[in-house]
Amino acid sequence: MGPRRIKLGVLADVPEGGAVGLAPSGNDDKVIALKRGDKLFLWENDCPHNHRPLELKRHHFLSPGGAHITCFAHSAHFSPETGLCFAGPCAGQSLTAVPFSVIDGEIWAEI
Amino acid sequence: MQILGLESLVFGAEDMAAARTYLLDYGLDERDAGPAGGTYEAADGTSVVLRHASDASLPPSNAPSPNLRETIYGVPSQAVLEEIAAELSKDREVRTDTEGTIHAVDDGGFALGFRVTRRRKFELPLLRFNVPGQSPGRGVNECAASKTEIIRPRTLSHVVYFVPDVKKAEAFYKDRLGFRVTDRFIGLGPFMRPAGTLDHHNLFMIQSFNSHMVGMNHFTFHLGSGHEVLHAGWRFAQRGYKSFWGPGRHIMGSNYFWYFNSPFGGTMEFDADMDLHDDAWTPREMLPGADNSQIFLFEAKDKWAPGE
Ligand code: FES
Ligand SMILES: [Fe+2]
Repeated sequence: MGPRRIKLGVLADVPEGGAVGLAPSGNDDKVIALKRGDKLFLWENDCPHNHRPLELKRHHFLSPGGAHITCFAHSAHFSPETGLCFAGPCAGQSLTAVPFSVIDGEIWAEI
Repeated sequence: MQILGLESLVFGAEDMAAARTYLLDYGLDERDAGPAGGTYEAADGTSVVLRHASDASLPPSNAPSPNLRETIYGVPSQAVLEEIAAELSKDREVRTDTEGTIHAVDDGGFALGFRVTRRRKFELPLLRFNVPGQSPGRGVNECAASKTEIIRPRTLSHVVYFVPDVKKAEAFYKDRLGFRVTDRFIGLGPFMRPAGTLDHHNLFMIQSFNSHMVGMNHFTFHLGSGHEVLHAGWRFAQRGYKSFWGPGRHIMGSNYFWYFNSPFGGTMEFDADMDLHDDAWTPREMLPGADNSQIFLFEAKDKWAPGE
């Protein structure tokens, strides 16, 4: 048996250069999805600093201008492509990648 | 030195539009909004002032932006203002601006201002509770739960700093500005109140243990009651804002709390019903950690009804 797959959404819902929250559970979206130059990145919505969700508001994950993922609790900044925290209280730590596949335009997380 | 409490917090914003919407959604009133920023007031006129982080008129930053750029306290009279200016100019630069506000920098690197208070009296509906054994708070046929309840932040409550040397920072506020220590987290830092207020804390300072624990940790206005914290926080979460911690009730200060992520570099809190202390109070010391940080803690849930 291969990994179990869960459908998180459709690729078309992730805007190029933007970010959205996926996998709602309780109060929080558990996954951050970003598209950068046709490449999709999925990160757990869990800040390495205090292990809280990152966004300011639902789907608002990016710094002004959209260059970085920001944790709006204490302003940790992360690379959208590598998940590395390069500034802030958890500098040097990383967001956790969510393994996924895209099948027929649908995003499936592998767990 | 009769410092009355916080008058205004000045922030250098990176995303002015998001910061503005956030403060309006929090319930503050906008004044003097323009390209340079705006002023966002509670019922008594205490405020958050927004400026662009790049604004050259702001004091220099002591932490990556966005962050708090100046903390302004209110004093009762020009005489007290002059007393503070005389005290601080013994060992640092004190500048008076065109509005008469004086500016200096504290021993932890935070910019400080003092001005004759512009707080105003306000009238909001009385908050009243029905308690068996006491005379009824509300009138007969008066309902407490309302979907259209108007909740106004009443006054600026407190601000929390990370400081490089907490002993030095505490001594500055105590010896130079007459603040009192009300309680203390052992190894972290003191809760302090200026002499002109009985509120448990206007200022809490946390020892920085690394180069990332800098600037402001959080700040808040007082709402009217625990109920208001729950209802205002509930509505804020419904707008999509992300809860950081709460709702709950602290032990030191007894204030109800609910913290949310913010565009200000730290979190912003909804707060109510803080303890009052005078000089007869003996400060407590507690170990930091979850058990001493709150008497209880909850998390919001979607609305629900049996049978759904
Ligand atoms: S929880 Fe993310 S920076 Fe503190
Ligand atoms: Fe607080």
